[in-house]
Amino acid sequence: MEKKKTIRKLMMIDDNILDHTLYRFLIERTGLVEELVSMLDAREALTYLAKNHEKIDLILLDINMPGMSGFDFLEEVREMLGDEFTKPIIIMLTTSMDPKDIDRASRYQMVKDYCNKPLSEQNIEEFARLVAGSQGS
Amino acid sequence: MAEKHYLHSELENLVTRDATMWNFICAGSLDGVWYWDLENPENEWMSPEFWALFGHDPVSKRHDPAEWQEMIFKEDLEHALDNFHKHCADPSHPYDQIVRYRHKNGSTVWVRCRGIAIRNEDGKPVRMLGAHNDVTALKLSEEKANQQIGELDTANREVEESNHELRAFAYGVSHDLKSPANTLAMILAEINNDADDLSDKQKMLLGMGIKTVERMRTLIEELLAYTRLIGEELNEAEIDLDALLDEIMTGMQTEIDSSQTSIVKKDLGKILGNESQIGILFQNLLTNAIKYRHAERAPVITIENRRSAKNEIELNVNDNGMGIPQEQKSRIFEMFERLHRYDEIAGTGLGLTICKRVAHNHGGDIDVESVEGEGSTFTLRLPGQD
Repeated sequence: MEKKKTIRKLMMIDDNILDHTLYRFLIERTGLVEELVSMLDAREALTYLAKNHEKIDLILLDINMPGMSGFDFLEEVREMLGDEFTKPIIIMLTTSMDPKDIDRASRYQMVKDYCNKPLSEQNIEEFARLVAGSQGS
Repeated sequence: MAEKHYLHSELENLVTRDATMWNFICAGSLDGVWYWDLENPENEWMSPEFWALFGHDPVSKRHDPAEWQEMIFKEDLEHALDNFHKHCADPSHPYDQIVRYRHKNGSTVWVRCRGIAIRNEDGKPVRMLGAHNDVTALKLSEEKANQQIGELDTANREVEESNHELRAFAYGVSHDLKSPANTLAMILAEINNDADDLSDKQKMLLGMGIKTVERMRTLIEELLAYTRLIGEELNEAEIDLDALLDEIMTGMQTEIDSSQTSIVKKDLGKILGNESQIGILFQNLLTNAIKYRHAERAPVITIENRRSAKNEIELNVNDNGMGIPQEQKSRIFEMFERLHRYDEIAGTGLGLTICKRVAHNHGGDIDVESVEGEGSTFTLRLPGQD
């Protein structure tokens, strides 16, 4: 039976090009995502978001990236959309286990979860529930 | 002999004639005076200030040395008596020591006690005149300073220990990561040997795996290089910079040729330092100058040795590369910080951290000046060398 594609559009922001390829395979296997937008650069992601943020359900955001870091990105997004927006949901996806990073991320209302790499299919299922929940409310 | 100043003679006269002068000196500059009859040693006159310093009412005290001998610290009394006997035997031996007294309120009073024996015609000491100066405040601040030095020493030792521990830890971790990374590289190479049977997707993934494990091995090597530099004994010697640079350039010949890099060395001379560390530093700076070259021109690197007025060594490595945006300049020496994506320009984010560590190990520092699109100049400053 065809699963319902809860996440219509997922944006992944990560500077590691190989991770994008691997996550694409993984995400396709879950069958929960209709469209995946891959961004290697947070600045480009920001430009994209400025025009399309209503269409994106979920953003997976890395922290340590050259140029614009994940936290720089969050600042810019808050500037652009305000702190109150509900779409898209942002989830940090990072190798950083630094409690300072976790605490810092939790201070953004738009960040709904903090997730350690590597990404798993279960993670995607949880994210799908989060997205479904936020749409239901 | 020089004529005595008239005021000096006048003062001597004044003190002899007028007891208020003597009292003024006692009260104004001394914390007690004593005058001892050595022929009848149970008699010793002590000034009122003498007793006041130890919290006693002078009226309550007899003019008998037994009175103060029960207040002075026992070991200090022994020391004072020893000096007393030596001074009596030989006037050139000073009677001068710091001794401790027990104050009436239980606290310790530190006193500098000086004295001079008065001798009869045969040179036999018959009287002794002495003076006390209160040095308690000085002693207390000295004690406090010593205590603080002690605390600093302890803190320093603790920092050193934990640095040592962290270094051993970082080294151990990177070293132990090496072995599974190597094994993984061999496994992937083995699969790659039979890659003909694989699907396209599997081939692609295998390629990604091989690249990733290579990246991991490079990172481990650089981490090891970095941790080796922490707390390493410096063993400085004279370095012939021209020869060292030639050696480094020979090792980099392939990179230099393929990028058509020209390197100019200007008057480098000799410096004092750890040759292997300085070598690592230049290797990193040259590699960076080539790696971050401008897209439209071949790299030109100039290496120069300048001595500043303070005899400080200033080594410049200048390039005509892509340069560093002003707002990113402070990040580049930070550990693992990178300004480029790995797929654009590969790197670990450790090279300049290593350079900085080498500079610090030599008591110097490294800095950069850069104009985006034009090039960068890295400057290594080392403290004065003769």
